[in-house]
Amino acid sequence: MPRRVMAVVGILIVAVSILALIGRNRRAAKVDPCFQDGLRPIRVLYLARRQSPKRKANGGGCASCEAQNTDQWNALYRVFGGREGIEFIVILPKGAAFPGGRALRCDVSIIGSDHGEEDKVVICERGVKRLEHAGVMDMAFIRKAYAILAEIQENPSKTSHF
Amino acid sequence: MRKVVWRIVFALLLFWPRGSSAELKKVVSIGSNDLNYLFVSINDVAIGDSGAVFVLDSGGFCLKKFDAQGAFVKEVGRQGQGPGDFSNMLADICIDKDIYVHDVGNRRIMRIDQGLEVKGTLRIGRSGRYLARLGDCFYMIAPRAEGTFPEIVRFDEQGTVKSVFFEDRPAFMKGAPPPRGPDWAMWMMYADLVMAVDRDSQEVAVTFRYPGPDNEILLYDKDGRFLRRIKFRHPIAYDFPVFRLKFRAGFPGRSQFISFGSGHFIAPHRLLLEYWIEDYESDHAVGQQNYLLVLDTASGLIVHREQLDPGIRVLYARGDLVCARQEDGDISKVIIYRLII
Repeated sequence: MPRRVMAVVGILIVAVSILALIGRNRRAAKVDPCFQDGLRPIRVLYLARRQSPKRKANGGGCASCEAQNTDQWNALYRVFGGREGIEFIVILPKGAAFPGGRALRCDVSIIGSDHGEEDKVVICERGVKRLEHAGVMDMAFIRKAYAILAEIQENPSKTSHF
Repeated sequence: MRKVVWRIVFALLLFWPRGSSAELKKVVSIGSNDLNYLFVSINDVAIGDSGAVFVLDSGGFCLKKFDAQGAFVKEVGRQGQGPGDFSNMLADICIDKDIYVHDVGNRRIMRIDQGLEVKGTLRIGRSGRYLARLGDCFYMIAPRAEGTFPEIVRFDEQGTVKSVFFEDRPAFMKGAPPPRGPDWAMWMMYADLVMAVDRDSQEVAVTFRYPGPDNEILLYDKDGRFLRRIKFRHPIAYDFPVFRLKFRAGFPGRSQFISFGSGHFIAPHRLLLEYWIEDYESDHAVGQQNYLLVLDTASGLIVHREQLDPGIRVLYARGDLVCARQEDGDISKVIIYRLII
């Protein structure tokens, strides 16, 4: 009897562990604009991309705006990537691909199954959104993002690894 | 002693430089990952009267100004449709007293002074490229409303079209009607033009970007009246590879492909041309030789030829200054060279 009980308990423990692992992975896959885990620095840039290209309503742009943003994303990486404490994370809808096979530079890619419909950049500090920008990126936005990151870096007491 | 003298004379004869000696000297390099010197996608460059360098960054939606030593001065522009905004389809700039930014997406030309203050905008009814300015008129290469081949459009500061000209077509497209279907897109591409304006002689020079067996420069006056045609041969035996006119081109084992990258008047009647020769194995480019040619449009003679690094793309040239775009790893740079002929 005790052997059977132990076997059942063992199976239950294994089953619960598996379920817990699945649950954690599901939570990780769910796109959270201030996603964090205990191993990552707290200053991060998140980029998200549209699930399907849309023509801008005002007609002033072009259908390939998303391809245009690839240059901007890579420019952001050139400015911010490799700096201590800053991690460059790209969140893509499942199955997303960049036109023409151009690679996006990033440190980590997270594939999410549900996300907003616009190209989006988010800067987070300790789980709090400091800056969010949707749509086509320009130098004016890159300067704003830089100013926020510089401000965060000037206040080291607010920032630390955990 | 006599033997020594003759040896010296012989050595001088052997190693004395032949033809015109010239130099392309790097003067200024602009570009880094520092925000003020960051370029997302360099579209065009111009040099102002004081030597200031203006860089149109279409990916950054901005126009940046640097002084003659390459130090950042100012930046203007952001993405949008309002005054001082740029679309994500910026074509090029041209400069005289002011700078004119050709914003294709917003269908306008924005006039900005050399202090980067926005002075006004001009709505344009046609899309095009290669914006240039002579006197108080603008010139642009534009697709015809109907048809395959481009034309030159001249319009005034109110956007009123004053004339259209250029009826010619490349030699390899003469005598046959443009095809229908997907091959038509290839004809459109290979009918492209390169244009430059000579502010001193008030002439417009036009050439086919993809030449045939001869290079042809057609010269027009500022009103679009044809003046003369200059022909000069390629340095190699060449004709346009007509298999490229097919949408699904059947590339032979080996072929060569010649094109003009750009044209700029650097002095009265002195036209600087980017001239590229590419070697192909099947449909892969395996080698490239880039040249700068200086053509005297008065005599029709090439007065200078210089080989360039294939990574250099000339965006602007004036006087003895040549402005080029180069990639240094993943950093886009504007390099200014002095061309001493």
